[in-house]
Amino acid sequence: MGLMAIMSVLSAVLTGRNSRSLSTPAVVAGRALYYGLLGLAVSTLVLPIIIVIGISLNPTQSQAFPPSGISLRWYQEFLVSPFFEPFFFVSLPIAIATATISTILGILAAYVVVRRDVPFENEVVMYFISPLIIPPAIIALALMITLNFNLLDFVPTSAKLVVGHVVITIPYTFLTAMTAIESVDTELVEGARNLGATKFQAFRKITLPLMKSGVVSGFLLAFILSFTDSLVALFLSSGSSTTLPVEIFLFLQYESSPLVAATASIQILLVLVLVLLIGRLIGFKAAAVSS
Amino acid sequence: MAFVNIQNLRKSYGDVVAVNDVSLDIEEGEFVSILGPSGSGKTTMLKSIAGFVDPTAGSIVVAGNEMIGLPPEDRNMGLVFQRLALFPHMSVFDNVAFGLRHRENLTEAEMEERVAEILEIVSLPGYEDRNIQNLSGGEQQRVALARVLVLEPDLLLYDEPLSDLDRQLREQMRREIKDLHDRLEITSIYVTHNQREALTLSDRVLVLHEGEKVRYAPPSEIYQDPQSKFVANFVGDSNFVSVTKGQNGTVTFEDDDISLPMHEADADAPTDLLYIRPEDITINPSDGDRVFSGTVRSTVHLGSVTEYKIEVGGNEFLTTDLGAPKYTKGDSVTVQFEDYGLVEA
Ligand SMILES: Nc1ncnc2c1ncn2[C@@H]1O[C@H](COP(=O)(O)OP(=O)(O)OP(=O)(O)O)[C@@H](O)[C@H]1O
Ligand SMILES: [Mg+2]
Repeated sequence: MGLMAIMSVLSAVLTGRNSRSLSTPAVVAGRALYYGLLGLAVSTLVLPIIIVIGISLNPTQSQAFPPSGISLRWYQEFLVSPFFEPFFFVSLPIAIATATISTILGILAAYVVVRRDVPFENEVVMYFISPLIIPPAIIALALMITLNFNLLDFVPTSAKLVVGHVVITIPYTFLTAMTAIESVDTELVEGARNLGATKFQAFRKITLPLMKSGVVSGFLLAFILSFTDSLVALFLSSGSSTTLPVEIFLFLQYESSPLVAATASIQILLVLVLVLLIGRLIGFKAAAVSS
Repeated sequence: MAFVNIQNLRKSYGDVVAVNDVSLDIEEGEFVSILGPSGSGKTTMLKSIAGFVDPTAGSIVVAGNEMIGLPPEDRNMGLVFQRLALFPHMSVFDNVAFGLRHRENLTEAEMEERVAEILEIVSLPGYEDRNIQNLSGGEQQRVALARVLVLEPDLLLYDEPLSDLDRQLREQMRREIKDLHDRLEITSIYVTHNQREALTLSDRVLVLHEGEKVRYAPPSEIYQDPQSKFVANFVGDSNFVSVTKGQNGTVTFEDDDISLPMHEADADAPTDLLYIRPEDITINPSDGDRVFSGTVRSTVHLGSVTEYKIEVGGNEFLTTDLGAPKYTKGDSVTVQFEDYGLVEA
C-alpha cells in the first residue's frame, strides 16, 4: 500500500509541475493545500524510512537518531542473527509463492467476472474482496482454527502460511487484474479471433501482454503484503516456520538494538530493488500503450 | 444460392429488437453497403456475420456453409473495425502475420514473403518493423486492411472504417478501398452511415431503419427512385411537399395552386408526398415549362457551389448552383422543377 501511495504522490508532483502558474486566491489556496498534503505524505511515508535507516547505522547498542556515528556493524550482525533464516528461508519463499499463486488466481477470477457472462457476478466480486472488509484479526483467527484442524496436520506450516497469505492478498491481485482486463479493448480480442485465434490464444497473446502492468503491480502488492504481514503469521507460525515479522515481534519483547532497524532497512532495500528490477524488466508503461 | 445468403436474421436484446427479420443475398465479388442512421442495427448485423453476436433467429450461409454456431475464428472473414483494433504491442509485421500464424502453416520465410507482398499491395512497402503507434492514421488504416487481406478471406467486413479520419484522408481511403475491391474482387460488406460512401462504393445498398430492411437495391436505383421519404432523405438532402393527386395526371401542392404533371411511373403510387432534389431545381431558366416565381430567402457559399433557399408559394426549397453566389436574399427569381417523384411518407 505504501508503494501505491508513493507512486500516486510522485504522479501528483509531476502533474502539479505542469499546471499553469495563475495566482488567483483560489489557486494559491489550492497550491498551499497541495504542498501541505505533499508534506504530510512525505513526512508520514518517507521520514520513518529515513529514521529507520539512520538508526540502523548506529555503532552502539543505542537506537539514537540521528545516529551517534556511521557503522555497518548491525548489518554484519544481521548475517548471524536469528533474523537471517526467517528472512531468506521463510518469509521470502512464502512471499514469492503467495504472490505467484495469488496473481494467477486473481487473473483467472477477474477474467471470468469481466469477460464472461456468469451468474452472480456481483456476489463473486464481493467474495473475492471480502478479506478487505473483514477485520484482519478475525481472518487470522478463522484461518488458524481451520488450518490447524488435525486432519490437516500433514500440511507443512509454510504451506498453511501461503494459504493464509493468498487469502489476505487475493483482493488486491483480483482488483488490479480486473482493472487491467477492463482496460484492454474487447475489440482487440475480437480482432484476434477474427484472425483465427481461439479464445485462449487471444487471451494469451493480446489480453495478457496488454494487462502486464496490472499483473506486475498486483504481484508486487501481494509480495509486499505477504512479506510484511505479522498478524496472520503470528496466528499460524510454528517452530521452524516462523516468519521474519513474527521473529522481530518476539525479539522486541525482550531486547532492543539497532539490529531490528538494520533488518528493516534490508527489507526496504529488497522491496525497492524488486520494484525497480521488475519495472525495468517488464516496464510500467506497458499499460499506457493500449490507449 | 447466392454466395452470401442471410435469411430472417433477427437479434433482440431484451425488448430492443436490434435487427428485425432481415434477409439478404450477396453475389460473389459484390460490394454491398449497409446504410442506416445510428442505432439502426448495422453493427449488430455485421457482428452477427462475423460471429461476435449470437443472433436470436435466422441463418447466415457463406459459400454454402452455415455460419451460425461456428466460432469467429473458424469463419474465414476479415473484419476491419472502426477503431481498427490493431495490436498496439506488436510491430506492423506481427500484426499482419498474426492471422497467418493462426490460420496457415507457413515457414518463417514464406510468412515474410506473404507479409511483404500484402504490404506492397496496400502501399506500405518495407513497413514491417515499424511500431503501430508511430504510424499516421492513414498508414494504420492500411495495416488494418493488410492484416485481413493477407488471409484471402471469403468475405470482407468493414464497420465504418473511415469515420474517424479527417475529410481529405477519408476521400483518399475510400478510393483506395474501391481500387482494392476492383483488383482483388473479394465479396465485401461495408457498414456506414455516410450515404456518399455507400452510394459511391457499392454495387448494392441495404438501407436499414430501426433494425428493418427498408431497401436493398443498386445505388442509382435508390437515388432515382427512393420510394420512401426515409430513404430519399437519407441518400441526399431533398425537398418534400405534400400534394394532392388530380385526375388528369397532375399533382397539386397542398397550400398553393402550383400543379405539376405526374410521371407515368408514379400514376398509382399510394402516396401524396412529392420530393424534389436540390440539383433538380434550376434558378432563372432560359425557357421551358414547370417554371414558377419565387423569392431568395438565404444564400450560403460552400466553396465550389452555392446553396440557396427559395420560397415558392408557401414552400421553401433547397437548391444548389455551381460557382459563387449570383443572387442575394430578397431577389425575385424564377425556378424550374426539372425532375421530381413521389415517395411514401
Ligand atoms: N450489447 C447490447 N445490449 C443491448 N442493446 C444493444 C447491444 N448492442 C446493441 N444494442 C442496441 O441495438 C440497437 C442497434 O445497435 P447497433 O450498434 O447495431 O447500431 P448501429 O447501426 O451500428 O449504430 P451506430 O451507427 O451508432 O454504430 C441499438 O438500439 C443499440 O442500443
Ligand atoms: Mg455501429
